[in-house]
Amino acid sequence: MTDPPLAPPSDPPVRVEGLRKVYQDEGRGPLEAVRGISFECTQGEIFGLLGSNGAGKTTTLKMLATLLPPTAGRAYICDFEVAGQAHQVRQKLGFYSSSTGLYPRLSVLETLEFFARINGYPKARVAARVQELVDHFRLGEYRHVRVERLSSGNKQKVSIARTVAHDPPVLIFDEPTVGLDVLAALDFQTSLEKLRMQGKTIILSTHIMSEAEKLCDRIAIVDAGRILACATLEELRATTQLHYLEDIFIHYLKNGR
Amino acid sequence: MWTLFYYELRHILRDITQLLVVALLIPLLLTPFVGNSFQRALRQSEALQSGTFFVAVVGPRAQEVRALLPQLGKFKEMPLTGSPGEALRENLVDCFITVEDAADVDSPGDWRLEPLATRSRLAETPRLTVHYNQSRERSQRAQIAFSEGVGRYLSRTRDRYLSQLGIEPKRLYQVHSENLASRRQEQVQLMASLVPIVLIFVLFGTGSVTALDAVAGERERGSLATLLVSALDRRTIAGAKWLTVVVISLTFGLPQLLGLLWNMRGLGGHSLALLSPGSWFCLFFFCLLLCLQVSAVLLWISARSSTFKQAQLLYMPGLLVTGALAAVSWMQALPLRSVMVLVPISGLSLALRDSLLEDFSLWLLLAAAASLCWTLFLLRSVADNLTLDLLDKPHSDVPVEQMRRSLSGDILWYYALAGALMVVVPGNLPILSGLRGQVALIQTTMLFLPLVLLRIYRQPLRPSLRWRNTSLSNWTICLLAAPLMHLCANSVAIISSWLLPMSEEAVRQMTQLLLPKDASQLELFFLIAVCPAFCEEMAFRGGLLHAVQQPRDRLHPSWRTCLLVGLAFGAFHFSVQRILPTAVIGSLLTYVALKTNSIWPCMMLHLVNNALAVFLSSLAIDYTQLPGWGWIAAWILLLYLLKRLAGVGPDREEREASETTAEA
Repeated sequence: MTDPPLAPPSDPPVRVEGLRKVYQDEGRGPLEAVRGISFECTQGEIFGLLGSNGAGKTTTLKMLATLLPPTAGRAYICDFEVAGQAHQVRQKLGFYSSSTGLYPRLSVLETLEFFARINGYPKARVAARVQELVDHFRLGEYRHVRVERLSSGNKQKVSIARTVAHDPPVLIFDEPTVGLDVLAALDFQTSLEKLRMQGKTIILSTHIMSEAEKLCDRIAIVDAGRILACATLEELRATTQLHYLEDIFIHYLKNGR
Repeated sequence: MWTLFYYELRHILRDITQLLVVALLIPLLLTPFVGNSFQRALRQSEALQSGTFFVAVVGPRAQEVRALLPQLGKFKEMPLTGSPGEALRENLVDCFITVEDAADVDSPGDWRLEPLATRSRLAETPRLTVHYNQSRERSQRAQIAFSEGVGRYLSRTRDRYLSQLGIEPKRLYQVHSENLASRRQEQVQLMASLVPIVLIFVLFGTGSVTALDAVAGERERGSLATLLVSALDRRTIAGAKWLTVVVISLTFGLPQLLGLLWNMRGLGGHSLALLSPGSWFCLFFFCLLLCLQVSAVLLWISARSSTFKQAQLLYMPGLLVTGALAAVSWMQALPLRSVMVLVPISGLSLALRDSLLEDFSLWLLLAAAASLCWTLFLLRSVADNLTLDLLDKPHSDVPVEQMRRSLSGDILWYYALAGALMVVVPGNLPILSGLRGQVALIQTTMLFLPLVLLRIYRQPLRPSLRWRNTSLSNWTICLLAAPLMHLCANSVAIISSWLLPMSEEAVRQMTQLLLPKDASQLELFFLIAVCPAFCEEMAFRGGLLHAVQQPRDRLHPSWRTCLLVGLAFGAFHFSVQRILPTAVIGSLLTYVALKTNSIWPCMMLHLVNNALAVFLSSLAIDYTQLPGWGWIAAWILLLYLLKRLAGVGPDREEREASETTAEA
């Protein structure tokens, strides 16, 4: 893919300020899933959200993707606020999650065309863009195959391709390699590296330590709706005097709770 | 939206062969069987009218009737081997006639079947009893044929006797009935009753799979989440999906409907070909509107379901409710020119019927407008329910005030739907059409509707319904104002009767409804004063006022809020003539509720007003005898008293605000 990296904006592409999310559960009363999370992501950075199940990662990402309204706090994607300017935010954002599926009876080409068009990609350039994506993700021989007939690895490629189909500057991946085999996971990691080189800002949520170690420029350790630490891997190692990310994670969990 | 619409259609029509076979070919192959079954039933019914009936004649004087049988019609007597009752049960005879001396008859004896006696007036004339089986059409027709045959015989006998007495039989009145409706008109009438219901079933059948999959199925598969993170807003997504359902319903439903009508041409389907261009246009127009509305209903069912399976479970109740609403086209006495025009599905059903009967009026336009409003309301609800997972209760995080504002946008629609049902249901259940039935239905609905809505929209009940006391001075003022309010309301009623006079018959009917003679004063007091005072106040000064009030109303009640609640209150009395006086009362009560921030004074005022109406009506007092200055004085005094109501102070506001937070 040959698009040049974006020029650096005046503000970071992703700014999160004191984001909170409270659910009203009928039986248990108010449940605070996210308790004031703040962070920023610079352009061309892979920012990792690392945490165990129920830490609040997915809720945070859903708020950024405008799927859930925040209870308090603000978040900005390319200077558009997620609560008040949801339409503009979604045009600048690509969101991938295990809960985001595809239309099974559409072919690969149709799927990519569809998502490029509904996300506002210029109609005249859609065909070229789709071809580019097909070439990049090596989906050439499957272009006319229905999604329901693809293997899980190819389905995932199509899912990632549709996430970037409209060439958004900010990408969010919520546990993208869950259920993938080693090779497919490696493929995904390679794709992510290429996207970073194009200047995309990527937020990656994962609980796989090796993945976070390998890919993320900065890592935020999340637990119980709070960020316990947010720094590069080297800084975390220096602070905790521990080498492996797993040990660092457990250290913060023990001290943070 | 058009991109989404195009790709949704493409996705659905991808397996076009399977779809054509299942959704088009098989139903088209089956419709001849349905149509032929109807036609065969009709032909059999017509054949029965001219066929021969098998009867048995028993009893001590059976021979007299046996000799008459050939003169009575096409009857053939069958020999009996057992009892006549058994023969009838085993369908060996269509009916049997017992011929007895009139003095001998005590009870039907061991015959269990429904007897129909032709009573004789002279002791020597035998008593004929026709025993038939109501559950068999042939037996019914035999009974009718025998009764008519005896009637004709008696008529001839009478004429002969009169002639012998020298009286010209032709001088006596004879009644003949002449049906001026042409066969075509009768057939169109039948079609007009059938078409809406058939259309509902066809549309449900053709649109359901698409609609149920469009949201519930996609929610289950995860592709809805993908759409929700795209640049499309929820209303666009809802609109595109709805259009898809409409197109599929029309594409596959229209051929099925035409096929059904073609196969039912013997029942009158061919009469449609003789309709005027205006009727054809209206027919297509309202069929289209019905398709739009049913598609919205189906999509709404899908949006309210977490999974495809749950949507399938809701499909049948949805079909029954919609079919029942469409079945009003069978009720010939139910006109479009009534509040029915506002009822979803029913209004369109009656408009379709009127179109086929070439009964054109402006009410058709009103039906179309109401239908579009209902469709838009449903689509708005679909858009609001386009969430990832209903089980996550996406509104659970929304603050109470935001939910209240959401309720204020929807509450009038809920109330309108409840009002429509309160009109339709008594029409179908006679037990609910009297005062007691209406009180039971209407007041129960008024009581529970706000409770349910407040619960759904997570509003704290006590502060929302204003279940709090007010000061002693306010109570005193309201007690003094109560009789004045009754007087002032009657002054408006008098003006209303000048502007919109009621016919004497209408007045009589209303009086009969509201003040039935068989009800005691205590019962009337309970039904007309106590129940409405509690239940209607809960609905209007409770739930509705809470939803529509503005923040500044707490300190300075606005005329807009008072008028809105008052008009809604007036409309709920379902009478054009009563809207004005009840709206005025409603507005005044709303003012009292806002000023005192309590519902209890409103209930007291309402109770006193209605109780005075009951009590004074029993004294037959004529309000028009009151001089004009009396009315004016009453108004001035009332407004002065209401102005003196002590409003909500800042301390009380803080206290009540903290109550609201605690409840939330």
